[in-house]
Amino acid sequence: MKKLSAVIFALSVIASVFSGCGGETYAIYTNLSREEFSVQAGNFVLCEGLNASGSANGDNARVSAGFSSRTHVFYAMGAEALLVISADFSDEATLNGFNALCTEIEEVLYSLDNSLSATIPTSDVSVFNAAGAGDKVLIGYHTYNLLNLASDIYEKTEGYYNPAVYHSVKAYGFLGGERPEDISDLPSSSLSSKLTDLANMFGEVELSSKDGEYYALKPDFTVTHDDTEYTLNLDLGGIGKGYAVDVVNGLLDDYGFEYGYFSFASSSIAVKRNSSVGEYTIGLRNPRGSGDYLCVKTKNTLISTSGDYFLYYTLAGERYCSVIDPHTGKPVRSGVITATVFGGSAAENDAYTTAIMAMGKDRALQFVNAELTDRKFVFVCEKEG
Amino acid sequence: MSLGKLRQVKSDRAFRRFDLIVYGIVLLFVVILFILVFTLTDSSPLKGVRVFVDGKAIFSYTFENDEYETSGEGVEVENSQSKLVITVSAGGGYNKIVIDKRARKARVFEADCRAKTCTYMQLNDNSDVIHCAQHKLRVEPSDYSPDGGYIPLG
Repeated sequence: MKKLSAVIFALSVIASVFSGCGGETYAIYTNLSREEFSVQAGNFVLCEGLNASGSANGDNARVSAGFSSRTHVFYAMGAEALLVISADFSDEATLNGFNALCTEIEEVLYSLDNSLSATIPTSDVSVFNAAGAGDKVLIGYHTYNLLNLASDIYEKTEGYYNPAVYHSVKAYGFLGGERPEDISDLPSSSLSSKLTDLANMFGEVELSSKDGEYYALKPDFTVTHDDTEYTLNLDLGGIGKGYAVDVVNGLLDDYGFEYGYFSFASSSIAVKRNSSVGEYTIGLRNPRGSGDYLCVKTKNTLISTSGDYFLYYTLAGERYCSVIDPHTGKPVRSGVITATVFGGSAAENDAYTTAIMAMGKDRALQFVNAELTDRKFVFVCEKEG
Repeated sequence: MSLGKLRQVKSDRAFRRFDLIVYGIVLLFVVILFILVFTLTDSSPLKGVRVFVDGKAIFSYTFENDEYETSGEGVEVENSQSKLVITVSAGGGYNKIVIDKRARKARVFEADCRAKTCTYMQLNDNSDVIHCAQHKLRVEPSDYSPDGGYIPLG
């Protein structure tokens, strides 16, 4: 009997090792219903007890007869965007519609890039960043919309989402900043503290519109460190990609394309329906290994994800990622290593996932249960102990 | 151990029904775990590699025939017994891709783009894609289907 038990134990261990259980374990928190997802990595353990809302799916009828797929790759905001559309392209009007859609998406992405980029000197964001403290800056419609949205989520998340952490992101070597080669190159606590004080002034950015023109008033506040004066600077890159996905999702509806998807930088996606099987399987990338940790079946939704594995470096065994905790001015180390939100809008989800990563498990659970009741979420924590 | 206990142990059956149920559940769990890990993800080995610049195919290679094709300018290929090194000049810069013929893997090992994110990506199986936004470069498995019902996130 003992031998048999040992054999079974050994088999389990082998299975665990093959499925990725060899290292640390991670906890998955989600309100997805059990039939919507499957865990793909053995060292990711589902934490039960959350209120799973029912699946709104169904109607998975196949419509693939006569359908084929077309793809188009776009490049904007320093990232790749992929459009996949399934339709009956033997119909000339449909094909023309696809080509017109591609042209319009190209124009929208170009326009957004030239409004929101922090590296294009003439963009709204760059002009705002270069302006002096207390200056009023003329901005475009999309920038105005996005800053309004960012302000709402800044309030709602009690500052855990804050697009004014630009200087901290750059100080840690991202957004074109100089990457630290050694711990001694990292920003000092004094600098991080000052930049946090500056970022906390985001709530003071005043937005206004007059005669069809839009303005942003920069807070009259500066901090000085090592003879360098800093004014409040913005980075709308992350939320901007989600916003672009929302705009493109509207275009897909306008053009009447019901089957396919638009994926921007693999971090925000507008998902329609799959022409063969109805739903798409979304593979959520394993933040600590290869492949996916979770597969989620869904359709007709908007998704965004954040993680500490997109852009990061390690120094002395510590991971430094590009997601900054606005309350410390340092890369997030809350224990939440990736977060994904389904439903609502991709721009909002982009901001929410960034905030969840900074909040940490307990605050994030309170937040999602109170504020994201109309959406599905998944986040992963490093296991305690 | 007392004599009575020894007799009781000897008289017991090797497998009680409850034990068998528990063992059955454990074995079932192991089998399901294997099925989930090895069948649900498209982790079949690479059959080939395609390289695109700005949406246009400029290079393709198949492992089975050990043959490659190039089209367009700006592509240089160094072919050896164990690997192929492809240098793609695009978008005002370059990316160097290595295809390991034995391991059936591909990766960008050198590039002069700003972020160099592409140098952290690998094609290990049919679900991976490498892209370099600055140079509008895309490296994907030859039988990669973007509308196969699967969308990678993250």
